[in-house]
Amino acid sequence: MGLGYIGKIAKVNLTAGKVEAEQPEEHFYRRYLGGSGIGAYYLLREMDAGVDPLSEGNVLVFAASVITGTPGPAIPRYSVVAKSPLTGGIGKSEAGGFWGPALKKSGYDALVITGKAKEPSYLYIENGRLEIRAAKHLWGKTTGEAQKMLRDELGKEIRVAQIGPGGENMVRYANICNELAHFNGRNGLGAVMGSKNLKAIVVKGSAKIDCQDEAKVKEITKFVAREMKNHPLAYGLYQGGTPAGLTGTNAGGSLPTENWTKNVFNNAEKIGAEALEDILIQRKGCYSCPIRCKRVVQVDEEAYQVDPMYGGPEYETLASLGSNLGIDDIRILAKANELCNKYTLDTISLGMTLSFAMECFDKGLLTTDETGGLELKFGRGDLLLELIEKIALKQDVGELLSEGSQKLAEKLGPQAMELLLAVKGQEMPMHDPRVKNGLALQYALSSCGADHWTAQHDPLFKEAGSLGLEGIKPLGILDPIEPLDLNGSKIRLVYYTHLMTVMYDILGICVFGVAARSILPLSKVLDMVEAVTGWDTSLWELLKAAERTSNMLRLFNVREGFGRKDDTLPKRLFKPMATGPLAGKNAISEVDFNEAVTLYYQMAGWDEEGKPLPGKVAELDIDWVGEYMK
Amino acid sequence: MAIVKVKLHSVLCRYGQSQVEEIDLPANTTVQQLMDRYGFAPGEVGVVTVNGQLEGRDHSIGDDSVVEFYPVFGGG
Repeated sequence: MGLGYIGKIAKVNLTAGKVEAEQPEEHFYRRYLGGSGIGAYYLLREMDAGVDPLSEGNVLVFAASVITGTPGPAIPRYSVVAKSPLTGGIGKSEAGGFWGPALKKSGYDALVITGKAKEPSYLYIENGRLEIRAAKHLWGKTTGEAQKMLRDELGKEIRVAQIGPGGENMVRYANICNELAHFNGRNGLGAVMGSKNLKAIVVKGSAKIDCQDEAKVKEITKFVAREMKNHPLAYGLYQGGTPAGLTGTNAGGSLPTENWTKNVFNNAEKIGAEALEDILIQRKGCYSCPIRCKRVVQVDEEAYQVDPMYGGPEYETLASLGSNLGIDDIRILAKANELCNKYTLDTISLGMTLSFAMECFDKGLLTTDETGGLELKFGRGDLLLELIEKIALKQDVGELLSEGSQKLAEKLGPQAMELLLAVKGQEMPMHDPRVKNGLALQYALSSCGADHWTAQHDPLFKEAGSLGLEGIKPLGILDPIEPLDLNGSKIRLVYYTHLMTVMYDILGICVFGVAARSILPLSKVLDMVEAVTGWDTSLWELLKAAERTSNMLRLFNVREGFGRKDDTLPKRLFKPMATGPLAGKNAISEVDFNEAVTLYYQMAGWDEEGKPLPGKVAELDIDWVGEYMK
Repeated sequence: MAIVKVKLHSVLCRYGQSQVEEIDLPANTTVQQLMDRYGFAPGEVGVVTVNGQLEGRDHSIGDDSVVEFYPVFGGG
């Protein structure tokens, strides 16, 4: 056991029913840190190319980091990594909450799960003991029901990461839930659990995570608690949560509405943070985080009962299921959020798959013959609630919609493909890159498909002296950069903040706690890593670890046949905004975009196809990957 | 002079007496001058509309206008 890390990684073969533990050396932890760094390491080594993501050949990794479980602030996250059933490439997704720290305290830094259990199973881990247990009695239960049964059986101190029926039935955008309100939301990793007959992973333990200088770690947490109310970005997250961004996005003319055919939603104020206040009963946070950006809502009406144990909707959910589907009733959106959390469906991919189907229906590309008689029209809250259950259970039209929008588009033909809003098969989040062009590169270049957290967002850096820009000065980004620029300075901004964001991911740090999106400066992130691990490290070393991870994720995709053709954008983004204050403006230039991709490749040390060059691979000390690239 | 209604959305309301307020401004006051008057932290304002239209910082605010300030949204 080292400082910060436990020093044990469990390898669980569900087919054989065997469990082993690896004890990597300190240099392994220092090179890969945690999260998708550890995940990519095992996926590249232990998985063959071309494996069906929903077969037993997939490898599923749950990984915390070298600083998870310490009293430091905003370090609640862990990553799940596997081949994605939604994209066919690398799948990874981070979740906050309490499960990651509890995994460490149960005696492991990470779990590497292979094979497939013969019967529904769950993993039980307590103080280093790991058992594969029968889960027949849990299969088919919603997350709330399963968590209650497990707590009744095992005690209230357990922490549960699990799938609901959506994951069991292998909906391609099923997610993984912990504590009913925190999610590894994207890339369909819940379906991978379902394909392995793995219902849940229950952790419990009391291992102490040793720190070199625990007092210093605690002082950094006190700093966040003391200063957050004076920090506009951190206080904004506490006060309004992510939903606080919705009405401003609408006023700015870029709120995705009705499958992005419109850019302004007339009733945005009915689904934003102000409307959410009417049903808000609590602000909650994650492990050792003073910011408390999570919402808890309750609705107690005959038509819509919303149980607060499932938390409350984030911005992404309010927009993807609200404006994007033309629904303006906050109670229905709260109910839809609750249902998605019960069944474990990613609300972004769900909303975007439904909106895509609705636009296809509107244009006659999808008819009642295929929908079982359902009129898939925008603005129907009752239909949304009905479809969530049908999709999770793969009933009727739910089966068709459970495949995600790209597979649906492929079935419907070339006209439908024109309407598709996905990158590498993953549906777009609720941020329109036509008002922040750096995000266009994030979406296009992410190894996981359209993802809004592979770098930081342009508006934070447009003004001199702004909190966002000040926050990244230690990276060497000194001058303001316009959101609509797509020049060398912008590409450098995206690349550097990509590395910073991956660094956060592999350290288990939440982007809502740190620069540039929030309060903790990079200098204190470094202090925290040193105070926990005792390493004499540097931002240089940590960012190189991030670059190593980013390149390993890309190499996984190269092995699966991905290339430049996949680093692109949906066609609609090369056209101007359709409605609102920016109507007729802001089309992304396809020429500029392609030049930007080329320049990004060059900056990253990749060839014309986006493959890391031998020099980059050697620099990052991952030559070993070559052996596994066949 | 111009009488202007100002709406301070979300956390920006802490800069005013209330979320919505009516204030007197010298004629030809620009958006930037009004922002300076409130003293927003640099970069804290993401979107500004005047009478529902997106306007730049050098826009002159007319009498009877409604000016709305929304906080920057750096990803959610």
